[in-house]
Amino acid sequence: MKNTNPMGNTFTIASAEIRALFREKTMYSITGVFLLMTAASSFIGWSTFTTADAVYRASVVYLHAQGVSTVPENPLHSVPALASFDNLIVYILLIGALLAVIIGHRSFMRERRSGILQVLFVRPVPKRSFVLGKILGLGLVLFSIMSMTAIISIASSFFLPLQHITIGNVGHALVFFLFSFLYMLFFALCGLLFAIVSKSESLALFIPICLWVGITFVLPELATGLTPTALLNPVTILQLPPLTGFFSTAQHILFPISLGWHYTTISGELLGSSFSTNLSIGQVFSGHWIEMTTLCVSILTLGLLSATALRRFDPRGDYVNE
Amino acid sequence: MRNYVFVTFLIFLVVLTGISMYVGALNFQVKVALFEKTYQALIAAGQPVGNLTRPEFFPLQLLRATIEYLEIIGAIMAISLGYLSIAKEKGNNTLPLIFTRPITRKKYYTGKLVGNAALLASVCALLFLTIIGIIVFVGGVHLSLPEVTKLIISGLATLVYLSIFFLFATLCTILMRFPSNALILTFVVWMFFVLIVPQIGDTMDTDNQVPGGFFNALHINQTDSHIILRQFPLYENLRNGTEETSITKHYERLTFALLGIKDIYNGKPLRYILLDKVWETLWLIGFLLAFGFASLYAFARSQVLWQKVE
Repeated sequence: MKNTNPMGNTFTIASAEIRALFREKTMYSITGVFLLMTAASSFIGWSTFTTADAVYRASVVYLHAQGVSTVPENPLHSVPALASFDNLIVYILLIGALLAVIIGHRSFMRERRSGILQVLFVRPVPKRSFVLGKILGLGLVLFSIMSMTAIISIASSFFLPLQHITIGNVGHALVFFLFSFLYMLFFALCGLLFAIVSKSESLALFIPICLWVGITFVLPELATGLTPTALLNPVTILQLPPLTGFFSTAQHILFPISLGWHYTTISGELLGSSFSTNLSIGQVFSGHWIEMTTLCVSILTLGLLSATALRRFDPRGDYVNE
Repeated sequence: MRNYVFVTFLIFLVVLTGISMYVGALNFQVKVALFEKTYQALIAAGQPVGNLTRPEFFPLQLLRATIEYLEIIGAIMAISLGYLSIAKEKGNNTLPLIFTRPITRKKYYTGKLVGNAALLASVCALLFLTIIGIIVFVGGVHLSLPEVTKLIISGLATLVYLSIFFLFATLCTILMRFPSNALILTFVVWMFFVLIVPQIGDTMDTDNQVPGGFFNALHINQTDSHIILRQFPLYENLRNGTEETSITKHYERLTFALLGIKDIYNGKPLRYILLDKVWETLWLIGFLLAFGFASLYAFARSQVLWQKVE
C-alpha cells in the first residue's frame, strides 16, 4: 500500500513524540529542575543586587568615617535592566543543553528499547517522515519549555526588578529566548543523532555530553584563555585578557565552531550585559551574522545527518546494550 | 580498562590536561608581555614605575584549568565507570549466576570497589605524572620536594573526589530499576553540584557584580572590604553555605590551596595548608565514607538488582 500523505505521518509522529515525552518522569524531573533554576535565578539576582546596594551604602559610611570625602558613584547604577537574566544564560548553557541532549537521546532510544521500530517500519511510513516528525516533536517540546522559562523570567523581573524594565527590554528578552531555543535544538539533535547511530545506550549519551563539554568549555578556553569556571561567570567573561599571539590565531581558527562562546556573547549583547552600549536586536544579529549562520547550518547538518543515519538504520535484529 | 567509554574519557582528560597547561603558560606570557609594555610606556613617559609588580612564575599555578577539568570531566569519567560497573551486570543478568557460587554480596561488591579504586588510582597517577612530565621536561622547570609533595597530595585528593562520583553513580544504578534513568539522574546531580552550586556562590559574591570588581570600583582594598562585609553576616553565611553543599567546592578549595593557585597559600608550608584546610579534607572523606557505606548497604539489600531489565 503506497503512502499518500507523508506530511500526515510526520504530524502523527510529532504528536506521538510530544505525548511520549510529556509522559516521562525523567523529562518532568529535569524540566522541573530547569524551571526551578529559572525562577531561582531571578531571585538570586535580585537578592544579590539589593545586598550589593546595601553594601554600597555601608561602604559610603565606612569611607566617610575613614576621612574620605569623595566617594565614587554607585557602580550598580551601570548594571543593565536585564542583568537578572545573566544567570539564565549560564543555566541554559548548562541545564538547558543537558536537558536537550537527554530529550533527543530518549526520543529515539525509547523506540529502540521497546522494539517498536521493527513494527513501525513494516507499515508504509517513510523514514524521512519519521525523522521529520521526531524533529518537529522535539522542537515543539523544547519551544514549550522555553516559553514557560520566558514567562517565569519576565514575570519575575517585573516583581523583583533590578532596574526599571521597559517594553523594549521585554522584546530583547523574547528574542534571547528564541535564540536559546535554537541553541537547545542543536543539542537535542546531537542527542537524537547519536541515539540512532550508537550501539550502546550509554555511549549514545556520553558522546553528546563530551561534545557539549568541548563546545561549552574547551573551545572557548582555547579561543580566549579563560578557565572553565571563569566562563560560567557572566561578569568575569567580560574581563577577557588581551588576545595576542596564540589566542588571536586560535580565535580565528576555532571561531566558526565555538558555538558555546557565540551563545554567551550574543545572549550577553541581547540582554545588554556587555555593559557597553545598548544595541538594537538588528545591530546584535547583523554584528554576528557569521555566528548565527554557523548555528543554523549546524542545526540543518545535524537534521540531515539524523535523516541519513535513520535511512541506513536497520530495525531488524537491532539490539542496544548498556 | 577494556571499556571504550572509559578509555575515551581518559584520553580526553589527558589531552585536556596538556592543553590547559599550555593555555596557562600562554596566559602567563601574555601577562609578562603586558607588564613589559606598560613598564616601557611609563619609562618613556617619565612616569614612576614603583607601583608596577612584575608577574612571578609559579609552575603549580598553571594547574588551575587542569583542576577545573578534573572537577568536570574527571567526575563524568568516574560516573561512567561507576554506572558501567553495575549496569553491565544488570544488562547481562549475570548476578543471579554469580551468586550461585559461594560468595557473599558484600564480598563481591567490596572486590568491585577495590578493583575500581585501583583503576581510578592509576588514572590519577597517570594524570599527575603527565603534569610533572610537562612541567619538568617540556617547561624545563625544576620542581622542589615540597612542590612534588603538594602535587602528590593533590593527586590523592583527586582520587577521593573521583571515587565519590564513582560511588554515587554505582549507588544510583543499584537503586534504580532502569540503569539509563540512573545515568540521567547522576548527570543531573553532577551538573547541579559541580557546575550550578559553585556558580551560584560565585555570582552571589558582591565583588563580582561589576566588571573589575565592586570594591575596586569604590577604591576599597581587600582588608576594608572584609570589614564592611562583616555587617552582612546572614548573606555571607548563606553564600558560603551554598558553596559548602558542593563537594566540588571542597575539592577545589583544598587543591587550590595546595597548589598555591589561591594567592594567600602560595609558598606556604604544607603543614600550614593542611591544617588550614582540614575542614575541606574532612568533608571529602565524609562524602567518600557516606557513599561507600550507602552503596555497599544498597548492593547487599537491593531487590532491584535481581529484576530482569528488558
